[in-house]
Amino acid sequence: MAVDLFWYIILYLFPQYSNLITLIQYLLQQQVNLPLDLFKILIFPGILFVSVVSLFAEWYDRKIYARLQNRVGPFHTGYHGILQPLADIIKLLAKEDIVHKGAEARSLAATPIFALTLSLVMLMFIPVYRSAGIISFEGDLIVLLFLSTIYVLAIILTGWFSIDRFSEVGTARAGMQLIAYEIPLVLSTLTPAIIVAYYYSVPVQVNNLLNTVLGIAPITTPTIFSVLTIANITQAQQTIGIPFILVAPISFAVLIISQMAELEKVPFDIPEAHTEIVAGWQTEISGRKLALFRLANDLEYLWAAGLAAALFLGGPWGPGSEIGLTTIERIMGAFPLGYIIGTIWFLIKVFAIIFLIANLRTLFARFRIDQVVRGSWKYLIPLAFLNILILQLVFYFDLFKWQATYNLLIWITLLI
Amino acid sequence: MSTVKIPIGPQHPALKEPVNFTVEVDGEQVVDAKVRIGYNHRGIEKAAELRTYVRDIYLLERVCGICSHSHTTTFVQGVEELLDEEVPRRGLYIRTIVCELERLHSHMLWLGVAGHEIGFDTLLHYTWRDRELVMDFLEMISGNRVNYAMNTIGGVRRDISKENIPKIKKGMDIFRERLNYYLKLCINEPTVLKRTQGIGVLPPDIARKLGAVGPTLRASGINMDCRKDDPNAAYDEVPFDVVTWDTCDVFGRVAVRILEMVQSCNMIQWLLDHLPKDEIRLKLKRRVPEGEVLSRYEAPRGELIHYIKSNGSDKPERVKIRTPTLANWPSVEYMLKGGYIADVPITIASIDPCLSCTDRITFVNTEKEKTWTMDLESLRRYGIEFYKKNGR
Repeated sequence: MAVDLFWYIILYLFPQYSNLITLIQYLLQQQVNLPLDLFKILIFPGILFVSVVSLFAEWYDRKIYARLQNRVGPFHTGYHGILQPLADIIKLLAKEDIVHKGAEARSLAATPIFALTLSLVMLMFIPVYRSAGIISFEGDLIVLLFLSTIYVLAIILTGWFSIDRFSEVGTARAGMQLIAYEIPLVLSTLTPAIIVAYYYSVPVQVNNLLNTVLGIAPITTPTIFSVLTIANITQAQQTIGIPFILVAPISFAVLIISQMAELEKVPFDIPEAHTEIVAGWQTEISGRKLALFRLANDLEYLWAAGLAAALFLGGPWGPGSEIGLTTIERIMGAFPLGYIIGTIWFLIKVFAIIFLIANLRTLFARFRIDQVVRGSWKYLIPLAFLNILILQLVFYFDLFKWQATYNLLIWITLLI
Repeated sequence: MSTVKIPIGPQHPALKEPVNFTVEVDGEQVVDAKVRIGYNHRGIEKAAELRTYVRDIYLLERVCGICSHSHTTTFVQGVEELLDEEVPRRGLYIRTIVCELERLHSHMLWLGVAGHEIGFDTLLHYTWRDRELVMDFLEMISGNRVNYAMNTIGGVRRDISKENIPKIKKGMDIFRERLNYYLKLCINEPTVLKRTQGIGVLPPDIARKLGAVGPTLRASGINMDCRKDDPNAAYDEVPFDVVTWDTCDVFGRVAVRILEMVQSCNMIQWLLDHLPKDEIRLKLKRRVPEGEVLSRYEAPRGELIHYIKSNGSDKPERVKIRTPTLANWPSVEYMLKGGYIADVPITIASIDPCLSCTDRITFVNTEKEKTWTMDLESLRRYGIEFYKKNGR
């Protein structure tokens, strides 16, 4: 009661801010468990966890890449060079930060922080130990794709602010590359959403049928936003029991290729092709800025692998991740065993995808920018559409027998 | 639309040695290109005039780190011609074997660099690993990996022992197998083809006009090889084919170099099988009679020319070196125009530039149409005075 009185007095004192006060009141009334949320954001599966995993992922990627090229890779710092990425970043943090005359010094100093923040925020959408990430709301897939485009904007701005001939060319190339891979990336991430939409629409159809026959209240139709949610897509793979890579393999391939282009990995390392334009957009980046950009790139790498794992491999769900779970816990995840097994499955899937990308990196020569744009619009986008078309046909003819199974179940229930 | 001038070099990650290309670009397309050399002058020609012929061999070996044997071969065969002496056949055979081993490791190194330039680092690491095989053989024969010091006036300094012959022959079989793998890889890998086919085109007539040499010329379909046209050492006896390719592009240069390596493997095996049993060297006089000679040899990068003028003493009066890279620069300028920025590095690399061989300094007064050279002391004094006058 005292609290209500307090708010009443405040409102009485500052009537002109009534909207703001009501908002604050509302936010404070929300069920916020501050220590737990802080733990989630800062330690697990938030900043500390993803930073450690992404540094390990960089070492793993470098090691695989080196072994495939008949080299040893990082070797000296720690066990088989496991601390090398961390050592690199600490070294760079200690280095002199050179800003050349003519560069927009303040804007240039802001872009690495911008990029690092973005990549950390993007990683919070990725489900690590249960179906939902730290941040999860209806339609978060679209927001995530939007953020990944903004990340490229940070790169473009970096090249733009460091006024330099090589950066200029690198920036132009980064922009061109964005045009090339953006559409296939979006199309391939939407494919799982289409599958989920269909899967959840089946009981609705059956239900509507029953509704017309028997007068039972219809269950809610899946909306476009509930389908475009990473948590729902991951959860659906667990409920159906098959990862979507088996349903949409072409889309998975397209996703991996366009993510390699986004991460600027060989053969798409065109914006930073060092034999052509020194270091492209990061030519003038040094010291602390370079350290932050490296960390941001590592996080971005982990993000890409995590997204592919969540959308196509079932994220944290796998055999054994349901041990000791009740039905509700199966959806929410259970502490501690379910969480631990979920995290292990997540890491296994992420490192499998990084292994795949490291393999692909060794196989190709760098493309030219015009070849990438042409190849993307000629082959990648039609391929992504092809998979969607195949899925539509499959759903139309009910080849997965989802509808048939549901019909059967419903009729059995009715008969009983 | 305005164009942007991009300087490539003298320090640039794509270049292993200092040279400057000013590339004028419109977006990604190269409109114009200008080559500027002269960042790596070391005054070797002048130094050669101050030393005796025997010491010159070791000096000229250091003209280039990769084709070191080519320079000494060209020099000693010029001096042998001045002396008018017949070198023992065994010496010539061993000289040829080292020449071909050098060609193998030079081309293999180039293949790796070419892979690196098109962003294919796996090829770089694979080829450089296989190159070690040849380096080991060179070390086995001569005791050195880079500057072998094999040549001397009148033959070679070391013999190939009986135990080593089967080792090298077996090694060549392995090497040929690897080469077949790389040939298959370069022909079948679509990304490599995309980056090499139709890039840096040099039509035959223009190649002839601009005076291109070596694999660059042979990839334009012109059959010209010093080893066949003007055979020296044991090349008149070894059976081999001159490899040509008619696509005139970077891919042609890759193919020519790989197939040339296969030929070299065959030649080394043939030479080891037919090694004569006579001496490896002949003791010759230190004083060389007056005269002048132009000595030619097909180095890995193309035709190498040494001009030697003697004045009867034990020191040459003039040594002039024309390296294959210098002959290929005009072709590079032609090839760069109309391409993409992304193709600049591989186009430059496709001639296998070697700048430490190439750079010269000559003072040219354009008004009086007069050229002269300066010695080190006067150049130093000139520099001090120049900066006193102009200040910093």
